[in-house]
Amino acid sequence: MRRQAKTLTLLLGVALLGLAIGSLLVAPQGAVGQDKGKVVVQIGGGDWADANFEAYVAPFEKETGIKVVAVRDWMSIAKLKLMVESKTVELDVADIPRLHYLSAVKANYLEKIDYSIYNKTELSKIDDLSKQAYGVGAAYFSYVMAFDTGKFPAGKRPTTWAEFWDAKKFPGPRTLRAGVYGTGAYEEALLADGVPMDKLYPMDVDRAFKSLDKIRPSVTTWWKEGAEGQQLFADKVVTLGDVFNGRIGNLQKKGMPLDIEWNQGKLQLDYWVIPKGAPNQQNAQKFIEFATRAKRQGAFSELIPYGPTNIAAFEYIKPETAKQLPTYPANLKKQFHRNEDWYAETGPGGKSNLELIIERWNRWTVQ
Amino acid sequence: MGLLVLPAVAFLLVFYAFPLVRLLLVSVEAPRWSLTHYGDFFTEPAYLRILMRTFRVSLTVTLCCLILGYPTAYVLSRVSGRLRRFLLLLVIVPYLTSFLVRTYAWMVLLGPKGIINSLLLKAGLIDTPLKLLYSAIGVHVGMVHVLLPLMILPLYSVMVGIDRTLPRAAQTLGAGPLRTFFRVFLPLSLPGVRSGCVLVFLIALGFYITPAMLGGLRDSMIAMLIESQITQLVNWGFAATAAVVLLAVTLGGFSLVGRVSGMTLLVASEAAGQRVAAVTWGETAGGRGAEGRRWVPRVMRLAPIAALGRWVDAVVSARRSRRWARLQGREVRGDGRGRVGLDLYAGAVFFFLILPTFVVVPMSLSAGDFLAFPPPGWSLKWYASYFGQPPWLRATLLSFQVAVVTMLASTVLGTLAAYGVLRGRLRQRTLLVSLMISPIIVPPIVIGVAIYGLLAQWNLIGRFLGLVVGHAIGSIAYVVVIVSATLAGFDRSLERAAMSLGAGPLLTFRRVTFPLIRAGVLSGAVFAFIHSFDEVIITMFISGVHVQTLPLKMWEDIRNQIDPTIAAVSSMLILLPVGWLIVLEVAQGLHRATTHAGAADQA
Repeated sequence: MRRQAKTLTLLLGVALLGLAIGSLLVAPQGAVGQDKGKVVVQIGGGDWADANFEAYVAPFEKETGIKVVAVRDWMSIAKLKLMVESKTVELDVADIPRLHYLSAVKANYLEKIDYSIYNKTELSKIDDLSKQAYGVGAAYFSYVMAFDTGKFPAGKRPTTWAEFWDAKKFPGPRTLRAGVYGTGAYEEALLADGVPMDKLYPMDVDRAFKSLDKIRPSVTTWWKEGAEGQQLFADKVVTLGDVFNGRIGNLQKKGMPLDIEWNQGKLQLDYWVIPKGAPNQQNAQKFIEFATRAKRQGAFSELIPYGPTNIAAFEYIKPETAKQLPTYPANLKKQFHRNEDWYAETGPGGKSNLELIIERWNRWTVQ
Repeated sequence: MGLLVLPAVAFLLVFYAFPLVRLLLVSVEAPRWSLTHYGDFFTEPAYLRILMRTFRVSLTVTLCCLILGYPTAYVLSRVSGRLRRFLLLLVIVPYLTSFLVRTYAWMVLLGPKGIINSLLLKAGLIDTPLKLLYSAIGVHVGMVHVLLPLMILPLYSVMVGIDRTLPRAAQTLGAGPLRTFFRVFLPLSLPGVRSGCVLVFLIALGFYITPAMLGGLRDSMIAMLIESQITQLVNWGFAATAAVVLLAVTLGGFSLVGRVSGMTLLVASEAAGQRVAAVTWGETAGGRGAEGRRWVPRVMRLAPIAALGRWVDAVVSARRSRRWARLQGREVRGDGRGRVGLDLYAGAVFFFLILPTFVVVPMSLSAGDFLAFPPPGWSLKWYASYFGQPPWLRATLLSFQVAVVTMLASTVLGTLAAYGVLRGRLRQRTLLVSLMISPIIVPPIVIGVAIYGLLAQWNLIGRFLGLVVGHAIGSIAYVVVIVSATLAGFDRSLERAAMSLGAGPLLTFRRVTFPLIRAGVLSGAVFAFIHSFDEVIITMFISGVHVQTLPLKMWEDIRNQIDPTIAAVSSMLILLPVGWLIVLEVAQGLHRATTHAGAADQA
């Protein structure tokens, strides 16, 4: 008995020691070195990340031999601030919405884009809004109304936010975006309340929240990440929602009975950026240059229906895909651009409208 | 001897106490010294509402746990032999299962297309799905489920130690069953009620994941406020303030409850405490040192681990079980009819405890692309998806590595510290012990926010070592609690005998003390491992961008895409506790082997 016990302890001890030594040997690989042959790219989540990986990451590695460490997570102005200010920048490239880009530039959290490495013809095809000093446009995408066509066939569904807000006429569980990053359904709320599309800014925040009060009881849940909004439709948890057009587009490709309405869609833009003090900046510049080439962006749009910032990309996009993109002329004219400049404006208390609206959202949620 | 506490104390001072002090300083904007953040916190109705909601939810959850847990613990303390072993398993397995898995199970159960709604719809009891998920109901159900074992185990631990002859004596003297219960059994079980309630309430206060996953917009708790202040606004000053408020409420609550009920954190001097200690420990602990008795019972009741030890005990000591069985047998016959209702009630609670976790298994075998019940068909594809994705495998490997290193480090530090505390002559024993075991009740979100700055300065964010440091804070606490309980439970005269026979302190430790506490050390190690392997909140703050542990990956995937891969991972994680129980049994086997061998030697 005693001997057995001893042998067991011994075995256990040896096994643990082995594991520990093994982990200590393996562990340092997780840490980031100053290796010149790599670049760390944050690629977002869900279908967006998959499309980024296939259209940009894999071909970039193949062409340049530079190893891409793809991180599946989102960047926000807050995370950027956290990293840059605590000097723990481990990322070389991330994409952030224009909403956060403007604040990031103001706060000096980004590295300048080196346009000298770009091919002249490619560069001339990138639209002006996308060619910024500290970021290059990655893609256009829209918040749109989405429906379960089983419950809401064409002709029997809301086409404006005012109708969407009408839970009596169009009953059904709904989802809207949570305001956690400052990107709530505020414009939609104002449109629902009768504000015309060209009079949204400067935004009447009080009015927007009052309008949100009205829809709140009909909202099953407020999604935070794009994939979550998509999942709610896939799981049939909701039948109506305000979600990203591309996420629904991809579910449609899988044959799910869903549809979207472009009318009063909210168009916006993401930028590729390099956080200040990124460890592999040269490779980061190369990656962004690669990811804004027409052919690559064309491939991206085929993977998830978001609009290219390089207009020449349309040469590589199938006509039927083009019709699904938010920047397709027929779709574009039904939508409005979110005015990120308004969000970046600083109010009387020294805080930007973006910060104020996040705080307001946090207070509103617990009312 | 007292010096043995030094490594653990030094570690905790640097990586735990110092960051907490710094958090306090940040909240008052030192060196400018301003209470602006506190002003903001206490004048903003929204924040006060969150604070009140945090209290209300924690209180409700505690009450629910008590109502569900008390009769269950009672039944548990009454049954005997195999049945008791089995029923205790039903409490302990969920306790050892990753809480992320348990919370996820409730998402699966409560969703509009989840099992509960599907069954109710099919039965025709409802027309539209009930709003269970993303609501206060979801939060309460999930939290009660996660915390219930923490209520049942201390209750059981005390109840099983109540001298059965006392209620019988009362009945002999003419008291009816109700009277006997209220006048004799209930008062005797109050220490268990107290420690269960305190434990559940304090841990509930700092809850983050469960309300975030199962709650709606309104169901914010203070930990979520702290998180959002950092991840959305990077408002360190305000986040620190909210964290200090939460910390103050937690520690204040603990000492307040302690004072009211006549018990301070660890040192029990008053007679009541000693009696309880004697009752709880009378069975297992033979001749303990008087020094040990002074505080160990407190620690033991702080952690439900006492009950775990008791379970292992029950498993091992067949002789005692048989004796218990005899005692129980008499008792049950004497008690009559009301039993059936009680048994049914407890049965329902056991069902509630164990079922949700296992519901994940059929979901993980779904052939569909999305979670649905019943699954559209059966397949192993989500397991294939797990094994086919390097990020999942890397995360799993990393979690194992971090947990093993954390376990080894904290077992060494914790065992030394426990030995030093019990055997050394220390002036500030209470303070030192509080320092070492308080991480069990200090909300992880507070620790996470506090150590972020320090680890960032030392360039340990996103580093293996940083994760080990973050996890070891809690792991050391578990080791100290468990090992000191074991240490206090053995006969010190054996050590003295060895010494007087000429063995030096080292030899005595190696040949006498260590073999006797080996089981405790091993159990401590298991808990240290589990703590690290499950940790997600501290990890969230200190993991940087590259490093992803398994719980972190699960947490992010749950938010991003609810595909059944997570169900597959969860199903596999359910198997872990079974492994732990085997290790713990082996540990007790060792213990028994040594004790028997010792007895043989003596003979």
